[in-house]
Amino acid sequence: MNGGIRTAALVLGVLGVLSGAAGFAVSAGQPFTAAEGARVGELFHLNPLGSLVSVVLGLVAIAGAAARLRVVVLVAAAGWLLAALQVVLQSGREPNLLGGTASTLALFLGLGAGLLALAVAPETPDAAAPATADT
Amino acid sequence: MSTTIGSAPARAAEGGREAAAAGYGLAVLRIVAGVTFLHEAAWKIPPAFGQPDGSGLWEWANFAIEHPVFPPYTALVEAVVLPLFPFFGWAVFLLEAALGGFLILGLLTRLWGALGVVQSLAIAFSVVNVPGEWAYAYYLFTAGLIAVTLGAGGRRLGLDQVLRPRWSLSDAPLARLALRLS
Repeated sequence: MNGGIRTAALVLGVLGVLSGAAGFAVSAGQPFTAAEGARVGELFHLNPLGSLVSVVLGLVAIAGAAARLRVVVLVAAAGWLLAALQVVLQSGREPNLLGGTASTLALFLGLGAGLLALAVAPETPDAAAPATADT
Repeated sequence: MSTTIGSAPARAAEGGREAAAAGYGLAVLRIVAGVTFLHEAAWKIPPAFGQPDGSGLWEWANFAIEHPVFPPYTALVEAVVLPLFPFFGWAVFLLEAALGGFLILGLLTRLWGALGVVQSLAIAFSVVNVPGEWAYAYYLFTAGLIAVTLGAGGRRLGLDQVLRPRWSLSDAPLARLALRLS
């Protein structure tokens, strides 16, 4: 795991941690597994458990990227995708363990799919090789 | 080799800067479109999506009939979408969530941009004639997504920028497909 892949995984991990931290800030006082989470800005909904899950998975992704361990990044990706599945199965109903809506699904799906794509991407032959200029 | 103004290297450098600027512009469009889809997804609430009390997505789907914009689309909504509303409710729920996540991160941007154009047209065909709506908002949104799709807006500030060089190293069919869709 080198160069841009590692940086991108770190960025996604930080995004997950920040999302969870923001979730804690707005869901303070809610029941831990409130079916309708609090809304972060005009974006996604999280309850305290959903916020905790986001922070933990974000830290796992950061740890995997920092240690250049693809399997750890894959674990974070799997966690996000499972969280996304939870939203599909429980959103709009009770119980809704993480308090999410379709907006939360967007967050979880993006982070999960993004980390998955990064974790399974082929390595460049040379870790110092620059990205090809097709941008 | 000369780098004076007008020389080939200078022109190449200027072209590179302009291409980069255009790429960042498309990235801004892409991220704003993704955030819009993420924001708007929240009120699509399963499992009924507002059908029992005539609210939510059910209400918006019926706008295509009450305030028609494009007769073939109105006919499609009457004949197919409303009778099979639970299916289409879930389809919109999943699609708009995916559009939000994938466009914000810039992953497989040409695919999700194209799907975003289709969804934005469906929205426009439902609501541009509803009193109080500003039709140009929907035209601008659709135009932005067309630009993101044609311009491959994930190749700056997006995961496509990071992943495309690696996909290009693989002969695997999925890698080849990912290159086309990004």
